[in-house]
Amino acid sequence: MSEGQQLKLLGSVSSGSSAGETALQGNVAVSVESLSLYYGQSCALKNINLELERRRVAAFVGPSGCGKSALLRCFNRLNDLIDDCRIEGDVVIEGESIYGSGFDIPSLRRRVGMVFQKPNPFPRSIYENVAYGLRLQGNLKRSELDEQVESALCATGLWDEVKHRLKDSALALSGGQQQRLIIARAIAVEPQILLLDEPCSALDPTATLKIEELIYKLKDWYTIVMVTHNLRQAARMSDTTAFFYQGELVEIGDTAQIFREPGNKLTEAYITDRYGHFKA
Amino acid sequence: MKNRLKSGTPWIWLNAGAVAVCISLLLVLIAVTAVRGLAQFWPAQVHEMLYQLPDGGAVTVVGQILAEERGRILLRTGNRATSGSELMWILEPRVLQHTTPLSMAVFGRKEGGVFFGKIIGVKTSGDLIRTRDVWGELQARLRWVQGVDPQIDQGVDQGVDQGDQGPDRGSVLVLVADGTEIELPINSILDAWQPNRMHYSQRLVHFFGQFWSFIIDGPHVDGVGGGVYPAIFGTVVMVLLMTVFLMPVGVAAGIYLREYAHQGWLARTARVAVRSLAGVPSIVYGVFGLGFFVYTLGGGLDRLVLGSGTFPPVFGTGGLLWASLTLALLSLPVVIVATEESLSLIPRGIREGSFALGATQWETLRHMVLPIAGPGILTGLILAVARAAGAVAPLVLLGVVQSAALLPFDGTAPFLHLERKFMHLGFHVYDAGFLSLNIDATRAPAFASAILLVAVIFSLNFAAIRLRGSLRFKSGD
Amino acid sequence: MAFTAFALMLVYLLWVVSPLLLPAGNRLTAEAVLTLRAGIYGTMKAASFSLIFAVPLALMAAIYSACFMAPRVRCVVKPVIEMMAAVPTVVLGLVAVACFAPWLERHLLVVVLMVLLAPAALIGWGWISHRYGDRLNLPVSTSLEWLYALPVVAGIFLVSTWLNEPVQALLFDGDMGQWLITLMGTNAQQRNGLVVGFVLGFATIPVIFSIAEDALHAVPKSLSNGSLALGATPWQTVTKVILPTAGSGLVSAVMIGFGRAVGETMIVLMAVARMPIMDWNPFQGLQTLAAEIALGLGGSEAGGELYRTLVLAALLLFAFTFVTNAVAEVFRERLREKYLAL
Repeated sequence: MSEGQQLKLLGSVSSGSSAGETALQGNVAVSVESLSLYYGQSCALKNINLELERRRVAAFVGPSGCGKSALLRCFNRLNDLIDDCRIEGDVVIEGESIYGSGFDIPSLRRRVGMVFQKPNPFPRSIYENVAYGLRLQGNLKRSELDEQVESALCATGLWDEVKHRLKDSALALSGGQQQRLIIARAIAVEPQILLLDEPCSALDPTATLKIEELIYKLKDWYTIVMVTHNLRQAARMSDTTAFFYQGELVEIGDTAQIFREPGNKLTEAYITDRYGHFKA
Repeated sequence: MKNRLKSGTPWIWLNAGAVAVCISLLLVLIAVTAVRGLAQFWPAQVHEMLYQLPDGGAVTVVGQILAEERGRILLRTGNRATSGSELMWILEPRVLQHTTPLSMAVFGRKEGGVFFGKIIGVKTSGDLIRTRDVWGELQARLRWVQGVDPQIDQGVDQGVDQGDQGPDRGSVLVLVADGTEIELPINSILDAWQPNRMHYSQRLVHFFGQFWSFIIDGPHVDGVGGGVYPAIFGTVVMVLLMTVFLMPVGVAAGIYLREYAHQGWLARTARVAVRSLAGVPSIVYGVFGLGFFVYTLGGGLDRLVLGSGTFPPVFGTGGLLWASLTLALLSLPVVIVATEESLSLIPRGIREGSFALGATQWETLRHMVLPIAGPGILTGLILAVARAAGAVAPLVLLGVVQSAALLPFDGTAPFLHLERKFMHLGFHVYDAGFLSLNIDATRAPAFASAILLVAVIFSLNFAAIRLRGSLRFKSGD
Repeated sequence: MAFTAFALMLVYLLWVVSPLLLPAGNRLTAEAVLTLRAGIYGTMKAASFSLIFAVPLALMAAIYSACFMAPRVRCVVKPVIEMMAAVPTVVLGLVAVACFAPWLERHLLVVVLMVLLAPAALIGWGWISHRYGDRLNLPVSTSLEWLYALPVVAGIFLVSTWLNEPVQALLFDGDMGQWLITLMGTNAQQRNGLVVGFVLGFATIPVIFSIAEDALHAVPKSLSNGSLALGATPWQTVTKVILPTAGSGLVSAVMIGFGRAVGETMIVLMAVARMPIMDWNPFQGLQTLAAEIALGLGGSEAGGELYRTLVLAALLLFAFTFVTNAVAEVFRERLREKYLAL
């Protein structure tokens, strides 16, 4: 890709978002401002700028290693756990700059829930998995705890399947159930934003379908950002799609728009499954 | 044939043989230790033999057969006070007559080891008691001495107080091998039995009784025979004290190294250093313990508290505190490494899941990581304790003695006496099995201590293995 | 918490080497130099003898356990062999001095015969079971078939014991040990280098076995499967693929075993007659640094000549074992990274 193309491309992205700014005033959940991410010497994300609206589903797509998961992890500062990771720029979530000094990271993570690629239930009971986040927030009464656990499990459609074995180990659940449990665990603490990092990549088609239905239902309450490898899923589920390539944001826009007439040749090559040709 | 060898299947059997040899070596070792250690508690038959001397004359020898090989018999003749030695080799062809008389009795004595002989009668105040049941009378008097049965008429026997032996309870008249009669004061007898009369079940009961009294009794006055209770007690107190020092420091260091430290070259170097320290010989730690703890810290403490020139030194000499500190230091690397490894086994996803729910590092550690890693850490701790319980080399330098007058823990304030010398099971093995001047008599108890020590350490290891096994089962994969 | 543990570790290291900071005196006397030289010589002698015994056994057992044993059997056998390390060395010393040394004096030939006959018998048995195994209908499942090695080894032991006296009478005038000693023209001890070699070897086997087994077992299955898929036999897969891959792990296992043998105190203290001599005669006694420290340090005057010599000996031991272990650990770390990359 030439330098000129790149500049033009970034220009189009920012102009696009600034055009929409007046219309979406006050409706921005996440705003990324010139964000760059380095792992040691290597640069994983280059100067990313984007805005995501409230109560909509945004999908991040792109080939492996393009930085989409890394960006997702910037939203709840989970990258901080990696030792030689360095970040420039800023992310503003609900009007608050999360990379400011003295920022309370645990409270951010309570507001920004996350679901991982591989289901990672804690080796505890089903109940304890959902209650874990709630317990961290303070002393809830047993009845309140029960209530919230139940409502979280109901919201994910898991309640009827597990209500008689809440004390069983969460590890005994199937993969799809585990992933819905993780979602229940995340929404139990009532976050504003839900990050889904390839939530269905480790699941079979039936379980995937259930998760997709769930996500569709949840977007009435939460701002959802999902990373996916499955373009059909992105097309089906999301309102906004962002395409990443080699650490750069190539294009972001309305999903229907992106899939119908992509504004960039790279995006087009990728979504029409000619990525391999393009690379050659 | 050549093809088969090339395919290598026969070579696999060579390796299987190595496994077999290793396992056999372990089993043989344990079997030898157990047999040599436990045989002494078995009430073996006592033989009476007419033995031809080289000059043509004949003597009667009495004893238990310990070993037979190449026409020679090793006889335990007991009666150390009269004959000098406990053991004796005799040549089998020279045995003219061989019997096992039913009336032959064995006496366990407070001093001088076992005694063999036939009972003639029981004497009180110099007079022979006229009774048909001499054996019953003896047993009754033994119970009386032990304070179990105060029923015997005390009027007759209100004898003179013989110092620490207590009042005179009479004596028993015994015919020994060379035909002389010997009077044994009943106060000096611990136990008497007639092995040649015993049934198998009686022998079994006797065996366990003897073994049990070996565990719960103190050593005899002359240092030969008796039990090892103080040694067991000392070992346990030392190991517990060591664990108190060891656990917080070792676990904290392991947690820091894995969870908090920046995982750069410094952490990696520290990790290699700790692992290497685990391989440093225990005697080096012993030298450090003596040089630093005893002479520097202990000596300094003495000078500070008691003024210079204190003699004998209180803390400036080996004792319980310094020994357990040294052993804690010795086991520290093992615990750090085990803590670290069980923490590193926890999948990243679990930590991230906890962080993603807004848990802080400390909350994640306390509520998630430590409960999961707990059994692994505990396993490491048990293994470290087992290793320390068997480490004798540092103790040779640090405050362990063959016989301590006082236990390190008792009813007088401050209850735990950190500066005291103490006894240790492993050191007892070394002392009784190697250093002792009367090696013939003390080697059997040394083996008994050895098998006790092995049993304790194997149980600890077994517990650790079980714990590790259940851990693997729980994590599911 | 931040730097506590690191500070602790540093302090700890300094503590361990702190005897170095003691006044070292001007020069060591000739006597001290002799003690140290004989000690180093004896230490190397005892450790080398033990490795001659332990390395082949431990490595072969590790190969079998890691590469050929069924997982469920391995779960039992591995801890059992590692249990050898749990036997307190003072117990090994006791068995050495009270049982093994007197036995070996008269049964040297049994050991020699075992070394010669057992491998031959095992390979022979392997050949027979490989060739005729189907027709023999051996009544044990394949995961436990290695148990047949037990009676084979035990049988060879019995045969060797039975041959002991006749062969000695025939070839060595009735006593092989005496015959060898006369041949070498030296005097001998009952508690000699040979005894200490075997017993120290017993303590070293589990150390080497455990580390070597881990290294071999951690070789990614994809590698060995690849080799098997190309038509290599299991043994060829082991020698051509697994052993070369895990090579540095095996080297570090032997190094750590050597470190353990060098510092072992109680076994040497009890199993061998203390003699300040420098030769490789296995029938002679020896003295090692560790045993000298255990015997001499407690009674020596703090800061005196002997004390300083022995502290120096301890420092030598510390430096040697620490460096050996550190190098071995770096090897293992590299190997782990290599496995992760595979």
